[in-house]
Amino acid sequence: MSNGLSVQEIFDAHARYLWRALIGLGVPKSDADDACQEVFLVVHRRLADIDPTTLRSWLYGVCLRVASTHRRKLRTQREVPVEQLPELPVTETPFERTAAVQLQEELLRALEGLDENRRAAFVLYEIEELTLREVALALECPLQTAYSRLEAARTHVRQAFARRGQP
Amino acid sequence: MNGPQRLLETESGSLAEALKQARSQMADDAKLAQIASDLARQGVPLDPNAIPAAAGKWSVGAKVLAGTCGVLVLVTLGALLRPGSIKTATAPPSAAASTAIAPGARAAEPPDQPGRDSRQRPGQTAQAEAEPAERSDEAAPAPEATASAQSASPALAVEHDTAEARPASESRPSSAASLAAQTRSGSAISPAAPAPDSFRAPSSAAGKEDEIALLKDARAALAASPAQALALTERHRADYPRGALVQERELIAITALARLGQSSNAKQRADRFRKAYPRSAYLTQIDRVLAGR
Repeated sequence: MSNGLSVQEIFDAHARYLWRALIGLGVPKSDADDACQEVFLVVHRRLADIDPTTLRSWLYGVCLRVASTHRRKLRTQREVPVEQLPELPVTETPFERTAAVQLQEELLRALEGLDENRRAAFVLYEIEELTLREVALALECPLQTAYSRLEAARTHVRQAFARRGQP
Repeated sequence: MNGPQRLLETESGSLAEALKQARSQMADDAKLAQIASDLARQGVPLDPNAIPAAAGKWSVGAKVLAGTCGVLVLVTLGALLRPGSIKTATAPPSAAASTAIAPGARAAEPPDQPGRDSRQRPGQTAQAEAEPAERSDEAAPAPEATASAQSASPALAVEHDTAEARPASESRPSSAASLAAQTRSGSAISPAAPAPDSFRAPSSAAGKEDEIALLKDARAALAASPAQALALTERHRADYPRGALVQERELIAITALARLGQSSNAKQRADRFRKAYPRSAYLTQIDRVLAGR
């Protein structure tokens, strides 16, 4: 392996974040495990081709495609997933769980109103904390395009939250 | 170009809170072990036994130790624990999960590697992954020990199975198991962990209503008599060391301490809370209490 990467190493360092990203990108939580597996099957097949310097954006790029496929499949099947909401931190009490669920719902609802590319820019930048350059690489678009997608998504999400008011 | 400031740094209120929540919800160890196990069955070179500690939390020594002792530990635990107690860590992957993945995976492959630089040496990977590793540190707190259904590590199984009577520090069945358990769960069962007994969530269904009632009383007492509220939280701590509402109790106790003017005690307790529940939504309220608002 000329690039020195191993699936294990990539899995250990990234899997938990990629799983989260898939949900942000619109994969229902009930499908997130499967989607995450798909991502790592791709990693396994393409391991030798991966450039370590752009590993993170490459991985998220794979996530975007997997999520897109899942969303398309979901639309075709018109199937209502059992678990619509992303998983919450396990340490919460029932009291705060309710509040957290509401916020998650609001964010997901806001993201649902975005097209795929803007949603991806928002999720990768604001939740996954990629740099703008990494976002552009993952989206395979120029930096400026990534920036304008992010800005448009931010405006949309801000407005969505402003309409709902502060808690 | 790193891009503009993140919204989490510039926004406040519900949007910031929602983003915080979104960032905090990563796959837990049990889930990762399951995914790795399913992938391993499909020929992906992954060791499911190596997964269940949060990435970035393991030292090299711990990895080697767990790798070599893994089988021994599981066998030991298997003999000592009730059947099913380590099911999440060792159960075979479900057929449904492993059969549903193949289609579409190839379509997800990127056409080519953008910005490829063949001069890059393997060692430089570390830099690219430094950030995620840091994030996993903050996201792998001791209170993962409070996960009930999602517990994956032997340590958690041990704690659950012995939850009836013994405190966690006495619940180690053997030195080998205990060593590996500590390795896997970090500070979760270490004697130095913050208030280990009081920060365990799962509780039996029985007595739950009493637990709620007790904390309702404590909360109601806060305004008129913080001392009384504090006493009630102490009673909660004694009666429900593994109660479902430990975070609620801690919030009440910290508020009571602050109102009694014991600000350093309140702060100490808040620090322990923060260590135990770094992702808790209660932290906002606790910070507000400490700030005197």
